[in-house]
Amino acid sequence: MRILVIEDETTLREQLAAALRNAGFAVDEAANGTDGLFMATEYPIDIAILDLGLPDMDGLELLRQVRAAGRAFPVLILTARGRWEEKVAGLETGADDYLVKPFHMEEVLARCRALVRRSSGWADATLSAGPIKLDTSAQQVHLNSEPVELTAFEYRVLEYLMLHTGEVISKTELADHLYEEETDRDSNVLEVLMGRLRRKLDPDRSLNPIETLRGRGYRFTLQRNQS
Amino acid sequence: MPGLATWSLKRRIFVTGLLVVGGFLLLAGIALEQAFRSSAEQARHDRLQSRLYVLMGMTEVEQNGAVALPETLPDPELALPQSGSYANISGVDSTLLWQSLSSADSMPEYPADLAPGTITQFTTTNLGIESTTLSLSVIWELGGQQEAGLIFQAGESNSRVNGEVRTFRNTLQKWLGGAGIILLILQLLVLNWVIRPLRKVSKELHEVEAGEREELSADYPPEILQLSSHLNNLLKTNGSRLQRYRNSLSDLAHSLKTPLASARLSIESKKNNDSDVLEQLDHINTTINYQLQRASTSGPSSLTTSVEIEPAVKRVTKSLLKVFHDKGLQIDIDIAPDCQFKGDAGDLIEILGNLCENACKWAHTTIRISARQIETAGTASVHLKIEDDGPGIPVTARKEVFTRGMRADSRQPGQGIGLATVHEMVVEVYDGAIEITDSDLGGAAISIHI
Repeated sequence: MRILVIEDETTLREQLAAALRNAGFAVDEAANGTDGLFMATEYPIDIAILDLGLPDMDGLELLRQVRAAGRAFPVLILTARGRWEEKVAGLETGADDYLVKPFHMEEVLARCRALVRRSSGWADATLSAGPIKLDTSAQQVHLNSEPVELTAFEYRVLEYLMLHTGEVISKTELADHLYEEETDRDSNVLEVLMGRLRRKLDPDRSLNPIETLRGRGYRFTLQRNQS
Repeated sequence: MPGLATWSLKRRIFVTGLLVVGGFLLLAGIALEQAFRSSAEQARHDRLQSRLYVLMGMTEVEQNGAVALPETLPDPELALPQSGSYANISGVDSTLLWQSLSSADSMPEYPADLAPGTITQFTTTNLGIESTTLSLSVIWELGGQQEAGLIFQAGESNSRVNGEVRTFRNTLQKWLGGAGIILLILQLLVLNWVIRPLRKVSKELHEVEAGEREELSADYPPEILQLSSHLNNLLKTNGSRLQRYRNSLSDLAHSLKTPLASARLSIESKKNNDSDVLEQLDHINTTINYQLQRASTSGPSSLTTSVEIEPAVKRVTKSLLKVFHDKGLQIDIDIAPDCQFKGDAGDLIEILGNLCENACKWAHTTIRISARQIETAGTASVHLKIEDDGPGIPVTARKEVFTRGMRADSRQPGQGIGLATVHEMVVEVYDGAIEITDSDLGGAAISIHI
């Protein structure tokens, strides 16, 4: 998941970015509204955290422009003022959730995960498809109720594919959403990783949860379980 | 007199006008009557004088001093008894030589020592009748060296002049009375026209208070335009000063809370983090929240506007449904269309936001928000009720949720601060009441009277 953090206060922004990276997000950082607006409209962002009190641009105005540009990713607004008028105005302008400073980091992570999940149409914190269950809160995967050991990056790939169940995801898109801007991308790494992931999820090659569409990308094929 | 100070402008102007117009008409009436009376008296004088001369012209005096006049006199009134007009001729020794038929009853006395050749006017009262008489004393040459002293008198009862004056007075009273009534009606019309801008100011101020307009209009006469523009400035500065205070306070909060958030995260991220420090940070945060809340609550003011409750409720619930999307909550809104919150729009959103957020947090599936306008003893108040089907609030805890985390010395941050905030705003600032009961939905019902 690729997250954009727009916060002018350097220490807080770096703390947020560090915690988010630690939690498996690819993080883009913007220190002001101008950079933030550019990244929000140009980068393949999955979710954004937006501080409303920016020095160079009103946070609500930035949000309005992002929505006007047709970008629909969820936005979590951070407000120091905590007035309901401001929260309501933020939600009306197009934000999806709010947090009042100061906040607990777990709260930020939980809200971000929930927003991403909700934007993909999953109501529950556990994504469940066939025998595969992915718990977004605990970041654990179970196959037929047996825990599956995944590396952090494998988990992120699976989470992204499951969130977009049924959609064809190109290698570029996958890289866009899982790597940060300046990271060196090697498509071979992705292919190797996909092989490992298949072996772990489908040891006897009967399930085939992730199919490869040659020249187009990957697709998570299992139907969502209706809970 | 304290009573006069409370007189309405209209009453003041009307009463003054009444006195001025009344006084003027009275004085004018007296002056006109006086003028008419003196001209009537002058006319009588002239009339009596010409009668004297006519009488003298017709008088024949014989050698023996007897006086002879023709049977018919040119003035028929002199032949008519009790006509009020009379004449006589007498000698200087007061012997009556001739008198008109009309003066049969009596003849007033004339004063002695009348100088010959002069006309004297005097008033006499005889048998209760006032008369005015002219006397002319003459030396009549009888031919030869003989001459006789004669006194000619012509008189008239005063009732004639008095009657004329009375008739004139009646006519005058009718005309002046009519003019007075017309003047008063005109005065009332003018008064209404003059007072109208003041009425308009009052009406517009009422509309500002009711939230139907932002400021007073500009089409006023210059004298009132000053007043209205001052009032407009007052309204504006009142609003902008309030806004400035709020802005600087929220700026202060912002500048404190971002480093606070940062400090919190950096302590949290360390292993073996110092929970005492975290607790102190939370305490600082609670204090900031509380004081900011207190300061930024506008409260009711005679110049603040009324806010419709239903749109505010819809804004807040729509926003919260977005946040609590996963819970799939059902929010029933039942608000009478005339429900108005008399206070600041931001305060209403703050109250609703806190209460609805709590309800959304605790509710399982359903929330109900209802509001009614209540008229008691002429004052309108609003009864707002927010209910949920959550676990409810136990009776024993109902008092303390209003104070939890609020006092600056309290050590319990976070939980329940929403209810405490609302309690503070409703009770302390808006002088209203708040109550927690059980809802028939199964959870808590928070009722507010404002």
